[in-house]
Amino acid sequence: MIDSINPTAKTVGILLGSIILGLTFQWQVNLFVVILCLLFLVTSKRTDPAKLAKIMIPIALISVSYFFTGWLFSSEQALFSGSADPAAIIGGSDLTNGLNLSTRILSFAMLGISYSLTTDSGELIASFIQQAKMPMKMGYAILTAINLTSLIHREYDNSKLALQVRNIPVKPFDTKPLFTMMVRMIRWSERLALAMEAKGFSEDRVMQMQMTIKSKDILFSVGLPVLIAVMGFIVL
Amino acid sequence: MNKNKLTLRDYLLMALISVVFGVVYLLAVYAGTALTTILTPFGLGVLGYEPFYGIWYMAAIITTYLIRKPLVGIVTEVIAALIEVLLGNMFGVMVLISAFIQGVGVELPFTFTRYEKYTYKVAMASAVSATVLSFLWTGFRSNYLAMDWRIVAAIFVIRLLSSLFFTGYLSKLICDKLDKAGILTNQLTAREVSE
Repeated sequence: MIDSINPTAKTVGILLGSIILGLTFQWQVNLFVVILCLLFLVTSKRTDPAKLAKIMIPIALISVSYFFTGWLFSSEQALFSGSADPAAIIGGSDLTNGLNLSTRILSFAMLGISYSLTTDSGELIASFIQQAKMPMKMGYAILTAINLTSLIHREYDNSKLALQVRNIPVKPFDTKPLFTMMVRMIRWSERLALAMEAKGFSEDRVMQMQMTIKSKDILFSVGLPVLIAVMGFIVL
Repeated sequence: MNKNKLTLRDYLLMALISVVFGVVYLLAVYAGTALTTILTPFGLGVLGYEPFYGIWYMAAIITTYLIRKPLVGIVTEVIAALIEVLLGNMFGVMVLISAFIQGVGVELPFTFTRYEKYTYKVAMASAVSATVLSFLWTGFRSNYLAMDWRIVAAIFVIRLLSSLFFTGYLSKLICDKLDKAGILTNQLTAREVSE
């Protein structure tokens, strides 16, 4: 369902939806968004269950940490506003505050995952260049960097190894391999730019992948924020 | 002030440096997750990622120092965020807003110097403004108003200290070393020749 939405429209819809969600402070709305996002993910052919499970571990942990903070360290204002909530009758205002904070961060994360796991990088950049007027140079620089990611990771490990074979210890967050990498990246950027321009790269480049905005894309970009607003300000 | 447009080489440098810092960010995420796990039972889990927060501004300040053109800090943060999103960042599109705000924070003090001063003083001011703006944004996102003021104050102080160390001190140190090694001079000369 969400796979076929134009990436720019998807960005606008989820971005606006996230901002509106930020203006609501009820755990019921957050839970509604979490379920909606799960629906997006389940119906998407691009969602890799293993990757989803791997991402969900830190999200669950962050959500639990916010629950404990909200529960143990509530502000007076939050206690007052949460006293009318049905959940406060069972567990008290502290618990409602914890629930609000934890589901809030969880719903933001679920919106984020349903965006990043269901969007193809090539389509996103092509759509940003064609619909959002992103400079061609910027788009291709991002694609170049993404395609070089594994090579850069290997280079980083190699620069650490190069120091270790010279008996220079490398600690976590050490600046020595970082310095080597900065020098390499400056050289790589020069050579890559020369190579791309030598192959005729320019702003006038014609793209094979043509992205279009259809009515369902507009419906998604308007519908999702409206749905969250309706749930947050009218229904719940 | 260098008002020339950003070239393909500039964009490539920003994107490649963003990927390098992606490796460092990953280390910070592991460390932050471990710290969050330890602090969660005490209700202090929200502080877990704060000691590493300054690392997220490093790419922007380093590219601003290297390229020395307006908007480089903001564009670098946005590129870094887009790369993170495409590699499966859990906060997806919200990272783009965070990145834009952090980029504005990093770049603001350089704007006041018309991109002519790259001293420790400006780097530290950059660290402070990035902290203040990102604090306001995460305050909205995570609803700090619902938390005890002491927790919120701790978040700000730890983030500020992390930012001053990683953004204000460490990034400037790396850039100065690059300058000392002659990399920056060669790079600026190469650009002047190509323009």
